Amino acid sequence: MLRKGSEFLLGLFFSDEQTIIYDHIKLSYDLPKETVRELKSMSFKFLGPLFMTRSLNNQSQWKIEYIETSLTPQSRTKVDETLMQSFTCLNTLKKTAGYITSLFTFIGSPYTEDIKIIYEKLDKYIHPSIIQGKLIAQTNYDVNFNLDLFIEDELKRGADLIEHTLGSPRKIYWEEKMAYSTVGIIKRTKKDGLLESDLYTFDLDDPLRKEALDHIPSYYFMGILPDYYEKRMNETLSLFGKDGLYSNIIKIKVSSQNRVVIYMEELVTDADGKTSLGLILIPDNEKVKESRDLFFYKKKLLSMLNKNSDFERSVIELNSRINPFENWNLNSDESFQNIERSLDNKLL
Amino acid sequence: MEEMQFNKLYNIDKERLHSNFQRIQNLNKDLNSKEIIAKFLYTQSIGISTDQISEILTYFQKKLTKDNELLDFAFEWIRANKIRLEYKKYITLNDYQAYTTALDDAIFLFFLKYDEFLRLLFLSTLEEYEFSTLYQIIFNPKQSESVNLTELLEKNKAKVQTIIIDGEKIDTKIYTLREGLSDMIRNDYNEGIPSDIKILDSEKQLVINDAIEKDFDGTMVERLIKFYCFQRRKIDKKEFTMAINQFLSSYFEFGVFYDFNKFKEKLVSSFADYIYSGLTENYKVQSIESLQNELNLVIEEFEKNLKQIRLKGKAWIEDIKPILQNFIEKFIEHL
Repeated sequence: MLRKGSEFLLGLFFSDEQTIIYDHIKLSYDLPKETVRELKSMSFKFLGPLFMTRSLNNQSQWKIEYIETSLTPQSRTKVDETLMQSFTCLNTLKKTAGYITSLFTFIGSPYTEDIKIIYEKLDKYIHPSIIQGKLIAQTNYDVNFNLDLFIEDELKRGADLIEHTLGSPRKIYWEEKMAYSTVGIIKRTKKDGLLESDLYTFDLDDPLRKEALDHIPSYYFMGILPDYYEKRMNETLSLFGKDGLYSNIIKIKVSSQNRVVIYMEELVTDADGKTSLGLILIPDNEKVKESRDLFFYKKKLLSMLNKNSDFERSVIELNSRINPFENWNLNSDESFQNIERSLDNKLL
Repeated sequence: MEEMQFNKLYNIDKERLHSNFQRIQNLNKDLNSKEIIAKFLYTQSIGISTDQISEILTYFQKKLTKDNELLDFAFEWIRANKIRLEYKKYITLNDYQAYTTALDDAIFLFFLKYDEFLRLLFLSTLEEYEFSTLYQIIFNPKQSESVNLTELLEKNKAKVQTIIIDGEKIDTKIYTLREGLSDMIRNDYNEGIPSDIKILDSEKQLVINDAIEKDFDGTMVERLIKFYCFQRRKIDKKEFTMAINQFLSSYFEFGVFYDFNKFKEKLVSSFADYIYSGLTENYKVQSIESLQNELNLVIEEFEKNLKQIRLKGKAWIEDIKPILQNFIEKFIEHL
């Protein structure tokens, strides 16, 4: 449970096959009515890329499990442990009786939340309870059954259940100790309000480039993720009256059946802006094998952000097959189309 | 795999349970296997009569898969009791804003995974209302009223459905769990923190939790009796004190309040059980039931003089220790 007086925001969204979105929002503070109305469009912005993942060419059912960010206050004068310091999005997709449903939540809290337990509550309890309840009601042909009310009620229960979990001590799970390999590095810099993002990965003619495509949704998708969601989160925070807070991506987890991709990022800020470095990591397999756990990569990222660090040398240390001298720009539609045509092309 | 996970989470000592079961089997050769299992479950403080247990076993025996026997079901019933204790401890310590949150949280944390595991015991034809009935029985609080299986089944049949679409059973287990466990969780939620919370230290405002049920462990009592039967050597008073101390301390915790009525039956049954299991065959001149009766008389006498029915664990240990020590000393004297 959160400490009394803690600041939090919690949004829970359910969408069915007709992309009808139901929502339930809980806040520890008041918002103007017009702002609440605007919140309705927020879910579409968050869910957009989720639907996009389904339309990927490789037919795989990839989903974003979670996006974890830390929050930086614009001014550092006020320090209070009850203020929001993390912002997390979690999503579950389920295919039942031929159609897909999505249950999505975003949580702002003063703590680094235990994402795994919240994700399990969404995936194993809240989401199935909506699907099961709906099926029971539809089978009964109950004329008095109101689907909207039912889903809204389940979302309220779900939001209460998640809220009850907030503030629980975070555990270290075996996933964090698993061995991963780097298949891409994203460097993002924001100076004077201008964002510049680049991807470093295998050369086009390196067989590992194609091999990695079997383990990630696509280079295009991994490249678009950090900027897209950081922007969405900042918009959400602003909508919730938290203009003074900025989100910084910590970790993103994407999965498809038995496949998992972790994107983890660290940043440094200075007077001009910020520089972030992120790694696209896949679990070790026979062809891509570096055998290092997430703690190693976190430390490595922090050392790479040191001003005296040699970027090219560090990239080679991470994975000698990644080319640190050739960057793939991530700033325009054209550059993404280029990635799609080349990096994501298995025939090349 | 599933069983391994559950043994890790809610371990039941199957070896010890097996030997307890065999002891009961050896003592009751005239009974059939179902009656023996019912008797065995009764000694495990399941909380209902052997006749009622027998009726439940008869009903669910027909529904078990061919790989599972009635004794497997009995072990799961014991495990369910253990889960209930863990759940009760958790729910009383948590501060929920609403009953539905308590229900959802408890199902998610304690019963959802167990449900998957428990379903492996039964045929896929077992209906959802039968599962919700089963939950109401095996997670039944010990002090509750007697169980009327037919009535429970009828009640659940009217509320819990099995949905079959295109010949395939649809997963509705969360609703089955909600239905089966709602009364129990509502009662526990409403019970909340006991009304007679004691404030030990007015400055620290220390709140004492209610008693969490667990088992008595009387291995030292058992060993002491066995030792006597083999060696016939005089037992030192200190050894008696240590054995009784261990027995009582395994149950009572310092700073926790216990209600006498809630543990006396368990105390009598466990103490008699450990004494009896310590006896070698040539010393088993009386039945375990008559041993329990003797112990009951002593405890009833103690109850008559009891001024407070609710005391801290340490107080109970001090009060009951001389009674049990006197009993066991006299018992050995007459062997």
